[in-house]
Amino acid sequence: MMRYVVLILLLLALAVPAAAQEEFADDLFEDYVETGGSDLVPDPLYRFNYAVYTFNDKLYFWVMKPVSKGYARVLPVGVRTGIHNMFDNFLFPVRFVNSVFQGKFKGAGSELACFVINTTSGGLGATRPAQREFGLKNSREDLGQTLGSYSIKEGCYLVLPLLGPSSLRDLLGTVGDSFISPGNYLTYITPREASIGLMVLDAVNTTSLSRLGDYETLKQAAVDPYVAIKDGYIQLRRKRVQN
Amino acid sequence: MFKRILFVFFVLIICGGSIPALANEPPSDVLKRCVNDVIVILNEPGDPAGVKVEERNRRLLDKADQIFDFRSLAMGALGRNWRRFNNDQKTEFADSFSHLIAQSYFSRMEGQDFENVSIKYKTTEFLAPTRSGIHRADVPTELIHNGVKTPVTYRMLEKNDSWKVYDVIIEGISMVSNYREQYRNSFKDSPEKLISELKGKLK
Repeated sequence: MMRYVVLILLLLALAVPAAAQEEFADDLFEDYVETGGSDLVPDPLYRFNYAVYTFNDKLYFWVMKPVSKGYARVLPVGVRTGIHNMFDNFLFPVRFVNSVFQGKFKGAGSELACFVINTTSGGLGATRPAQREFGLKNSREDLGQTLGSYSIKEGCYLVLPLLGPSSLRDLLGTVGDSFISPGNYLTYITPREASIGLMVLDAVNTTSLSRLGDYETLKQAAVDPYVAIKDGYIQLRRKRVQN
Repeated sequence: MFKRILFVFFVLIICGGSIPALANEPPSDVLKRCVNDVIVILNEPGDPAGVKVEERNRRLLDKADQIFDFRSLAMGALGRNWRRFNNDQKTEFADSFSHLIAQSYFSRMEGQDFENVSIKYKTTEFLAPTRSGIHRADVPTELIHNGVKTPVTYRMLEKNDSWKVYDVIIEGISMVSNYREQYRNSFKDSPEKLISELKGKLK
């Protein structure tokens, strides 16, 4: 009798883990909240957004991609990185002011140090001795994140022509930030064409450096690219607001 | 005597499940080894005739199968849809899903020059086990390409005594959550439709 009991126990001990293996994972994604609940960013302007999304998509494949590819063939990656760094350097006021707005004084100080060092001994910011030699870090803050840190929600999802995914809150942030972006004041000292030219250069240059290929991969891997981009944008921004 | 042998055997079986786990390779080592293998395969000199491409893609997929738990990935991606799938459909979906991910991301890496890529592995963060007792860990890494740093976290689980990835979080964007959101509105579509839609995306 005892032997049978032991045998049955043995069999059970062997069988239970095997059975548990298959349905094991029911609670694996318990902490992945379905964003359909209160967390969802509404998309009341879906039809408009989808149209702009389609427009941006065509603009990328028909204009930005071929232009950036040609541009990349002419300029070596080192030069393009330098140009990118310079544009980035002059966005210093946005990052600095928003660091202060969020009470991140250490980040603001480090941002100021980066700007001073890179502008003076980094060739107007083309190279980044502050990050390379001194290990200083940029703080990627903007007004959208500042508003987010004040517990202001996204409002609704927006797709902007040329600029891509955004939200009501982040659009407000972009407009606010533009008042302290040096690029915005170029029009007072140079002809309008020159500042538009600079904006185009920045866009083409950035695309040539990082986005070529990434956008295609994203679209290829997605089941629904519009939703994939929307969710990716919201997740990214929420993460940045937290940090 | 016989009873005693049985008893020892019994105790061994009961405890046996937890002993190999201790002797295991830590998750970050498993990950590092597989990532290095993938880079080696991707770095092999290209074949101008393109004959070996298929063979190489198969090897890459094998590697991916070793490191990813595609069944869990697919389950997370489908969210509440998963329960509507029968077992065969689950397998078929997970299979196509792994192909889609491998195809998209490997083709992105192709032709990139990996000399300018470096990966920094940071300290593994062990997460609390799930209610059903699955051990989980986050392996944070930093991918540096041409001086641009991208944080990539691999979320891993312990399955059959080895660690496998079941989510990748790039710049705070969870791949599983992203697919989950895409499939959230597919609740009215049949499993067959979702599978054929997925297959339609494969070349």
